[in-house]
Amino acid sequence: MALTMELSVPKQDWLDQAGRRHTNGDVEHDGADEKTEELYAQRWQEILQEIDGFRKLGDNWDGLGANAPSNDLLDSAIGLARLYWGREMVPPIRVLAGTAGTVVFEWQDTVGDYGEVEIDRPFHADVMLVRPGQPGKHWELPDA
Amino acid sequence: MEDELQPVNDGEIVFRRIPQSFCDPDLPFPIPALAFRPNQNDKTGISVFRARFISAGETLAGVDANKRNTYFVAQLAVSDLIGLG
Repeated sequence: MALTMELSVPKQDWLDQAGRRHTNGDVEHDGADEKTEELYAQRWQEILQEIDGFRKLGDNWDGLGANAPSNDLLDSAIGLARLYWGREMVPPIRVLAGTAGTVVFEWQDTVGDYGEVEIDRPFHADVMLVRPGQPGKHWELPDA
Repeated sequence: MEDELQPVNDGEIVFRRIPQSFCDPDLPFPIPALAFRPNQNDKTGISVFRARFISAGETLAGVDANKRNTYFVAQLAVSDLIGLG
């Protein structure tokens, strides 16, 4: 998890992956899935669909005034997921809509590593990586 | 007489409302860091409720009535929060 998560995400690579949609409305990845294990590919596809499903969230979806994520932000999240998938990165353990209109990818493993990418506006994300016994790392995407 | 303007002490407990959709008991970390990040209503830090002044159930009074059963209430020790820096 950690090594691929720390790879650079150039803005152009992210832009290239965002906003592509099939005419039937499905969000689909097309590219590196031949090289990706079937299980991971299936999970990445689920992640894309879950992000797309956040379009149904309205404002105040939490009953406390939450902001719904914008379509531009969701397109960005889908683009970043495609980019990670294309790099054969382990899929997030879950993807969540934040109450501030953000989208969060989360990774965890059994040795205590915890990683999070929060897309907080179109084509911008804050990354946090915490490993046991080490100071947490924080950086922003794109980083190149 | 107690009032909520008294300084918080290390021995206190505070509550934080967490959407159930954020929680997955099957994961190593069931609750994501996202649940403890300032939300759209938090202007100066994350909002918590002091258990000295309110019950866990009462913290949900501000939630739309049809959403109240979509929340968990987490109980946190102030000493743990202070320990995080």
